[in-house]
Amino acid sequence: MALFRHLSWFFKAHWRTYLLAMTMLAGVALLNTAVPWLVGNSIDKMIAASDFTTEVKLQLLALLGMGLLIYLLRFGWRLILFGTSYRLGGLLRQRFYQRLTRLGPAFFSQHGTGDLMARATNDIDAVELAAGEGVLSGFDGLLTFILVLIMMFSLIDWRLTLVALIPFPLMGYGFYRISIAVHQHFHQSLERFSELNDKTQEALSGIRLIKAMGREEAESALFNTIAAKAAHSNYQVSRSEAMFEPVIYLALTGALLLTLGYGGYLIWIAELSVGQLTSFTIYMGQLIWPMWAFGWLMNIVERGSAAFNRVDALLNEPDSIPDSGQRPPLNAGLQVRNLSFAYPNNPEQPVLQQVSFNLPRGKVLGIVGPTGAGKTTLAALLMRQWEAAPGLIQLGELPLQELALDQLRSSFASVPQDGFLFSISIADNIALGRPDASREQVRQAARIAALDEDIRRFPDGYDTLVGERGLTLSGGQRQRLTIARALLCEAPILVLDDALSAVDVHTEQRILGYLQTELQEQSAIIISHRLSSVEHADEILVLNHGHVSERGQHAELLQQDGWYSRMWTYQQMEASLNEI
Amino acid sequence: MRSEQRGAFRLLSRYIYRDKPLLIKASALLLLATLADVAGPILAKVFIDDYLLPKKFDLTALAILLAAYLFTQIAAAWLRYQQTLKFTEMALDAVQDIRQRVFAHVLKLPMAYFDRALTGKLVSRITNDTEAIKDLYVQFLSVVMGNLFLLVGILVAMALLDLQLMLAALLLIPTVFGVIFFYEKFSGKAVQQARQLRSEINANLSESIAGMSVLQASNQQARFSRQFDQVNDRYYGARMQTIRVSAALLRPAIDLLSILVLLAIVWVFGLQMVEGVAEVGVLYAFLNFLGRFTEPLAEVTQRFNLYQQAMVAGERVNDLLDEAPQGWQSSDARVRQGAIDVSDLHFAYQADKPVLKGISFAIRPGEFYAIAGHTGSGKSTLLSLLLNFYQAAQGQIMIDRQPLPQFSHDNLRHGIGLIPQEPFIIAGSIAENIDMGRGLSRQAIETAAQQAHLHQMISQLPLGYDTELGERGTRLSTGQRQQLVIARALAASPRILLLDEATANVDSETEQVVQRALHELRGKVTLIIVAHRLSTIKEADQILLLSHGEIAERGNHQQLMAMDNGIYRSMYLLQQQARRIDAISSES
Repeated sequence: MALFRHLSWFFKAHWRTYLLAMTMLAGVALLNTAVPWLVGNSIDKMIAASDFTTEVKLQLLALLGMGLLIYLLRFGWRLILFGTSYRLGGLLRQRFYQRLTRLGPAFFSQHGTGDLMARATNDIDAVELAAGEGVLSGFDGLLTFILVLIMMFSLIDWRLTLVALIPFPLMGYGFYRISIAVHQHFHQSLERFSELNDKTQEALSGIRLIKAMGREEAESALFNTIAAKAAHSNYQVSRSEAMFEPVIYLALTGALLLTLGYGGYLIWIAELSVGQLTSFTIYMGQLIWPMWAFGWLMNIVERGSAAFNRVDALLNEPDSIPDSGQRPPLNAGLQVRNLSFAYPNNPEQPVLQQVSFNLPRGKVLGIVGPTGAGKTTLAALLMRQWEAAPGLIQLGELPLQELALDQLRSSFASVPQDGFLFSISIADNIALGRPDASREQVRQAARIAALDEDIRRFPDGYDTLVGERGLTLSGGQRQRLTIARALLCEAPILVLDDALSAVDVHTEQRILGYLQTELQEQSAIIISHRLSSVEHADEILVLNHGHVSERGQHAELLQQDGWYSRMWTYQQMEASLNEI
Repeated sequence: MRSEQRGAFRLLSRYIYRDKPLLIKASALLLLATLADVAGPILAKVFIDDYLLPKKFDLTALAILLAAYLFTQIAAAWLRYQQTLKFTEMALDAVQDIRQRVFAHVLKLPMAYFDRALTGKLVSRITNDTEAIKDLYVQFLSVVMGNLFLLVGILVAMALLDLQLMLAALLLIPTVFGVIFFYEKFSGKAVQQARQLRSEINANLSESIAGMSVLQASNQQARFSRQFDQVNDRYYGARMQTIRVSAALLRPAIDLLSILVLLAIVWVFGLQMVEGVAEVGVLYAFLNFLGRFTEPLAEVTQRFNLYQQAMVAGERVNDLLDEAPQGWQSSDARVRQGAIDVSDLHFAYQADKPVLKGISFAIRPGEFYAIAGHTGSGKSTLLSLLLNFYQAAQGQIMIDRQPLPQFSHDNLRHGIGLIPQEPFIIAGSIAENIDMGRGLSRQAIETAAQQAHLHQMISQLPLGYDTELGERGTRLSTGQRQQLVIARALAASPRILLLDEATANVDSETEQVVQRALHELRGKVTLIIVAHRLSTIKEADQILLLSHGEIAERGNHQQLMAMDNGIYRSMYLLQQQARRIDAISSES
């Protein structure tokens, strides 16, 4: 029941709705218990009078009215109770999403997308179920149980009730045992199913190898054993579930037999009427549901609380980067002093060591070096996607931690390695950071990024839907789109992180040329594998294993026989090879 | 019914008749269970009308009644349970068979199919879709069939007791079907919409998670949260619509109907009272039956949804089974010498983008051939064609002067060994990893391990060839893994060995292993290596340099290096320059 305590804020906020639903449920339970009594009473009256009297007819019409009222009440509580639990689900999902927007790459590298989505859908479903049907089965089951017992004891015959109810505790116990077994087997069958999934996934992703080795038969045989195991598990579940019916049936039969036997005796000695016996039989049928409900309740509450814990753990995840400061940067000058950094999950392995540089407003900094040298990490630290030790990086003469996070972020326009596109139109994708930009501004940015002509050839031009559910753009088009996106932001510092790798050399030179001539006010940080991109930078840093191994301008670096000059030769050779 | 639906229906229904004895047994059990079941209230009726009300106290008769009652009811419970198990067994057998068939079938599909298909979707068809079919079978066979039998049994028993009253109860059935009809009509759209919005929520979430750093960098969290809320709200609205329809038409409606029938029966009983033909015991039995009558109907109603889902799943599975597998000859052509003749080979994945344009070469048995070239030059495609993964559009490949398509699957795989880029280890013993399900003798496995210089290392392990590998077993070094893969390829003593060299940077241990193996195998089998590092193929008899799908240069290392402005020469120099760069970055 810890689940209901955790969710008490929601129940408190919606206590009126829950109260209303419960009142309606209580009404249904009351009316329902009255039905058998009315039927029995009518039968007795008919037998006594040996006639179908008007009184009986009226009584039956009243029964019809009750039936309709029950229908309306049932309709009502369903709407209210399920509606409220769906609202809870929606609310949790909304909070979940908002929490995600405040978490950084460290979090997302630890939690797979599949896992997060499962929490936002399946787990929240389980919580909904507990808050809707859980509440329902608990309350309704208990109420029906009590009311039916009261009717049996007070209106019919307490001795008969005691005798007839003997098998019921046994039924309850049976339900309890079966629920446990079902739960266990169900768990196992889920595991078997995911084994099946893994095997299929493995086989299909290695299909080339399987075919080359002629392993089709062997793989099928392996799969068959797993499929057989899965079938066996499912059989176990079904076998446990199938036990419910005989248990209900035998308990009910026993109860009926006792009712008929002892009730017959009571009729014999004229202490019970046939009508009462009939009512009693119908009441007994109504007792099955509460027995069921308790088992069901335990099951869904257990599942619901496991699910809620998983959702709640996420909702309580602290912000990855605390939004600690309030001040805006005074200018766009960037200063980095002796910056060292290691990722929190691997503190032994420094990614950056003693990196220092100045980037005054309007200047261009090039960062090059082998893969894994820490170039991308450096860019991420500047934008506070990861947290460096305080004070090592200053923007506009203030340490990053003293700046308001949104002010800091809007000082940078960054073009990451893999340009991510959302499933919205091209124009909206370009205007991502500036949703209010005019179409002309969007086109201007696209023109600079050498994308305008491509876009015009698309079926709906700038309104073409892209991303997963739309048109697939080539790698180069994607990169140019993200460049246009960054240009439109007009942020003081532009960061290109290997952003031109899929663009051909001529387009690259055109874009860089534009940046140089038109954007005198903007600073730029260009990270690249292709040295021609940084040729004209005001300063070039060569990062190697996290530290600056060479620095200077292009001409100076070529003088030394270092990484830069060797790489330059390599890339020249490669270029001439491609021309053959 | 659309034709795809018919296919799915045939697939699903065929399994019901597949195991006839089991079906007959299960049906017989079901019939007996139903008989025993409906006998209970009839016996109660006899007790009330013949003994209780006339106050006739006949001990023997009552004892017989009691015994009969106990017997029928316990028998009913037992039979019903057995029947459920039998039908479940049938259902699970059927699904297991469908699963195994689909999986085996998919593995036999031509390689080109996998280029088009998304692995995730394919996996989902084999697992999730068959799971949906399983749910239908289990539910349909054990719940719906059982309930329908019970319904008929109850109706027959009612008719035997009192035809008039039975007709009053019978009214329930068309009414329930009417309700189902209206439910289907009104809920269909809402249910579909809710499902669609749910997948939209999923899509939105996965997209937001993937693009979160972009969202955060451009300060758009609030805007995207609002968009998510909108979808979330629409989902809420759609679900409220479904709950409105189901609350109006499903459970509450059926309960209302059962009250109406109850009323009708009591009413008819009242009318019979006036005529003086009423029997109280009959009424008792009817009310008893009625309690059991609505439940099956409600159950059947609830399963309708399931039926629709399973039909969609069945269609998809059926489509997959209809895909034509790759055809193989069953001739006894074998690879005996290992001569390969390729003449004027053309190939394209897409009609307008040729990948290979007129490749011709001839390899004599035991020669060492290397294929080099840029990424995208067509060298991996050539390898795939040699393995018969794809069929050439024009020109042909001959092995030992027989066209490649004439070899049977097993003979070709035996004759050609492949050493793939990624050394792939299965969870199992070393012997199993070399054998790979081919049923080789221990002798053949050990010989192969010796050839790959692995035998000594294995002999030193406490469990030798039975040492377990894989995630939970012993871990091998990359070089040892490579050796294992070589042993695996050699174990079937192939005449032709294809080696697809790893593209990624390989440690020097692995490179040495490959070099040594190549050196030793030279002359013993025909060797074709798709090389990325030109240093590995310096000793090759012949190097083919592919460029844009054509053989641009051919000859041995010395000949190719002697060509001024040659591509091979430039590539070789480029790789040397790359080494100089690596040297400087590892030294600092």
